[in-house]
Amino acid sequence: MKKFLIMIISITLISISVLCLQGFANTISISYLTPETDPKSMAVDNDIIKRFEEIHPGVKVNIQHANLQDVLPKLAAQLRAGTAPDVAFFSPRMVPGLVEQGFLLPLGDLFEDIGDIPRKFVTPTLDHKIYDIPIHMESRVLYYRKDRFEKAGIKPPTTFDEWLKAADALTVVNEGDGKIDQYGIGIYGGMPSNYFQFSSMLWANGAELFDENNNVVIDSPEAIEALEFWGKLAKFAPPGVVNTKNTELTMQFCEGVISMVRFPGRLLTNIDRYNPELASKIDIVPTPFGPSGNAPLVHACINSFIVFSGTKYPEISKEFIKFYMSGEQYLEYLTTAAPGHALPIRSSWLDNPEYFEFPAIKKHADIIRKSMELANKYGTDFQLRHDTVNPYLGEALSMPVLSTELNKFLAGHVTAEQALKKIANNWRKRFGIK
Amino acid sequence: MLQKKDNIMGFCLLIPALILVSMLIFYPLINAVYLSFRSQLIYELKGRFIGLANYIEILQEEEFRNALSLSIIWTAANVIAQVLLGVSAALLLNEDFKGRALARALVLLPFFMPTISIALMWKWLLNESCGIFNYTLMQLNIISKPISWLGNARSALFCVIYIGIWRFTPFVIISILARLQTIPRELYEAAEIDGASKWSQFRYITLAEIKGVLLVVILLRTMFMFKKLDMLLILTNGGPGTSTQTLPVLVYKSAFAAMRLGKGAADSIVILLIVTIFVILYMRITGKSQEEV
Amino acid sequence: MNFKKNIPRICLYLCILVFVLYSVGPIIWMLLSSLRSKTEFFNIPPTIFPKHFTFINYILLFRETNFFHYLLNSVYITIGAIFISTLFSTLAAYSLTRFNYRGRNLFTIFSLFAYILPSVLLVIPLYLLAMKAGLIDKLTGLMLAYIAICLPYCIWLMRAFFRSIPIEFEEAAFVDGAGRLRTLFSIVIPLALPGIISTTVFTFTVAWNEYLFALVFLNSDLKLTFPLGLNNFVTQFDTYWEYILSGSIIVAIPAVIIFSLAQKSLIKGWGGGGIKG
Repeated sequence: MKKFLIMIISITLISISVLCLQGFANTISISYLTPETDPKSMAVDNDIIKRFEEIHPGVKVNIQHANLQDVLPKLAAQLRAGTAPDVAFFSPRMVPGLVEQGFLLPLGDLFEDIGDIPRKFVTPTLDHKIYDIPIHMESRVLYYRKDRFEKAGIKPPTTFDEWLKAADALTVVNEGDGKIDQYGIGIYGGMPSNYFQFSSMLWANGAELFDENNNVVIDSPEAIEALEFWGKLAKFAPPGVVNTKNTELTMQFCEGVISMVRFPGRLLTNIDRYNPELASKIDIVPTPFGPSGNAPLVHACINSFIVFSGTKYPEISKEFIKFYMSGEQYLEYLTTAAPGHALPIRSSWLDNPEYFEFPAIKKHADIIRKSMELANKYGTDFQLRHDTVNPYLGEALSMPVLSTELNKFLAGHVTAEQALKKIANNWRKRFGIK
Repeated sequence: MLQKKDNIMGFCLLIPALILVSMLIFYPLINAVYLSFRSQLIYELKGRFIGLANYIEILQEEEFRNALSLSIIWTAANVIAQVLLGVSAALLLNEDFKGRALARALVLLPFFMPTISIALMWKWLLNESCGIFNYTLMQLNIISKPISWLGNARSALFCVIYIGIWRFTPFVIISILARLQTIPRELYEAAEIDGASKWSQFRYITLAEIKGVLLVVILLRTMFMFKKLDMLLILTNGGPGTSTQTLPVLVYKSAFAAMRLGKGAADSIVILLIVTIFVILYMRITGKSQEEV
Repeated sequence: MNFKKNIPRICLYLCILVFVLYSVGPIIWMLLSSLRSKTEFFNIPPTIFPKHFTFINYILLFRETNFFHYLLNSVYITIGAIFISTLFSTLAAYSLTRFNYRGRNLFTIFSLFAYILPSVLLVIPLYLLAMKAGLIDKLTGLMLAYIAICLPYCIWLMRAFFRSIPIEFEEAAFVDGAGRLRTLFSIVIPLALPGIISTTVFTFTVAWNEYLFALVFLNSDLKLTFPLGLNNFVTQFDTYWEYILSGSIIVAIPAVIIFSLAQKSLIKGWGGGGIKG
């Protein structure tokens, strides 16, 4: 019996080892990590990879997927084990932190090679080198129902004041008489990403998270004003603001529950899916500015390519990025997976007829063109607020106190001042800054 | 019967399990203790040694006490309801009736489905604008405005507990039902002949027989519910504010989501100590019956 | 008189009906939602039955995604995990209850600690271990991880069952000349069958539905299990309800069918008596 068991265990261990010793190929292989996990994006990625491999025989690209929030544990495990990917599609907010650890490869030459990406959209690291290549920009503008605005006789808002009045005018709540309630605006209050929408309000009111000297200023009077305004707007949103995220906002807008919404991502595609008739009834304006602000604002949420410094094939990795962002491949990326959401960031594409003639884009050409112009003119992002990036930015934004306090404020558990003071003090304590 | 040679063989039977379980416990546990004394971001390769700072931080965190009490409420409500409901359902399903096999399989569905499916499904059902619960209640004129089930502090806690009960009671049902099926019918028949009432039969036969499994089930349900994380994250992310922020949710957000590996390790050790204390107390209290377990 | 006898019967059926509806009600709603087109998902006011029934979501699921591969991977891992974990845990539980050696109780208590550490903390060390053993991005590697996760509970449960089986059976077999292992397989295990079904169900649920380990251990698209697949349908900006609804129903069906078949055979094979005469 004992012998029998020992035999079984040995066989198991041996077969496992055999499985592990599967042939090591002689090809060059790089791995590409991306959070674009929906089927269409995966198809696009696989297509681009196939073409790349055809042009570069002997090269294999292995694609890995992980949702944006799950990617860190996975990446951490890989970095420790030395199996980090070569190329990744990443959020630039994390770049300064990774640069500080020495994980990223400078990509200045690649940037020059591609040539027409606006320098202002690249993350300004402390050593002024380029570590990320922006691949697209989004245009988080305010979408509104122009049919309802016309009916109510109001113009799209340009200031906080007008915004509040518009939300009020468009809110029609019927107490259980069977008719659908209409609300003026949808608010993203759910954790952990509510700070995105709030930051737009912040910047639109001339306030910041950190100032250019890396001091914490999220509890300034202008910031408190912005948060209180957000709270006032939320009164005209459907109930359940504290749990509302992009999915709910999309549903609310497509089903006509709300008349204004700040871009919840992929809105045009979702309108095509859930309520195609809506396409002709909508229009856009940039985020209105507040009493302490003075210019319209667009959150041009950037996503970038990065290359890890541990890569064995830096040239191939850079070549892959360049390939991805040129010609047919870039067109496929921009038009197939999320048309109208991921907008071209290369200046030469701002007027590219091939892009605008593509059916999925052509359907919404006006709005998309306008989105691109607005993003180019007024676009900003967390890491682009000042000339250099606060090295704590990534960590500060991940701290739960940020989204929790905002959520508590929307739930009515704390005042705006209490919420922002708590966030500010936590940040100060954690990073040892003022 | 128990000879030394026999015992060695007995030990060998244990070896495969021993290897795997040691890997799952020893290495990560030691690793966790090591990490808990360091400050290290998740993507840093090395951290700094900071002694007990992580532990002090979590004990001083104002949200710690809130999270601990929520954890206790969440766990207690869930376990008590799951056990009561589960044992009752198991008794029902042990009876002889047509369609019994199908009923048993259907009743397990909430447990079999992936977490993300049921979490999203419940969010949809409870939605204020397009959820069927609010709509039905309004149609029946019980309420005039949609209730934000997951958006109000009180109802959010109640709802997540309800969903927890719905999801995990089948675990209790399977375990108890399996044990019920091994109780020989003769015991009941003999008691019947002796004139014992149904209640006496239940108390002295059924309960006595399932006691062993029941005690295991209670212990494990408590441990699992205390640790439960993913469902709460998807349903409410600890909200509104911190009304459903149990200890695991707090740990996840303040440590792992904030990319602080050292703090996460320390927090997890704290949770481990709390649960261990419970396990020890539990073993003491269920004292003699543990001989059977 | 017949009516009086039937009241408890009717009560029984009523209670069971209510409980079954309570359990599957929301899932039936999910089923009905999966049978409607996208434009009907968020009908306001909400409708239980769609205006037009359609299977388009299921067709799209298999045509536009790799869901079929995900399913196969999950099936492979789950079946492997069930077999091995049942085998190991039965052996271990038998060992713990029928033999006497040092560290017996220690192991039992200690194995419980496996469930106390949160998964996030387990993942990184286990990833490193699996890396060294070359098990990353291999289905077998993930299977081993799942077996390790399931063992402690399965051992506990089998222990409880073995304890409830009187030792007289085995002693009778010994007298007849059967060896230890033979007795285990031919006598004890059949008596503990319901316990084995329990542990099977538990292992199934873990291996079928587990997410975090699969996320870290698997890389290539075609190796993913379906919990990863389902999660990938929820992105930052989109929730692909059409895939999630149909996918969820599809993975629930085999569970129901298999378990109800298993139950049927269990009921048939179980005579209902142990000690006779």
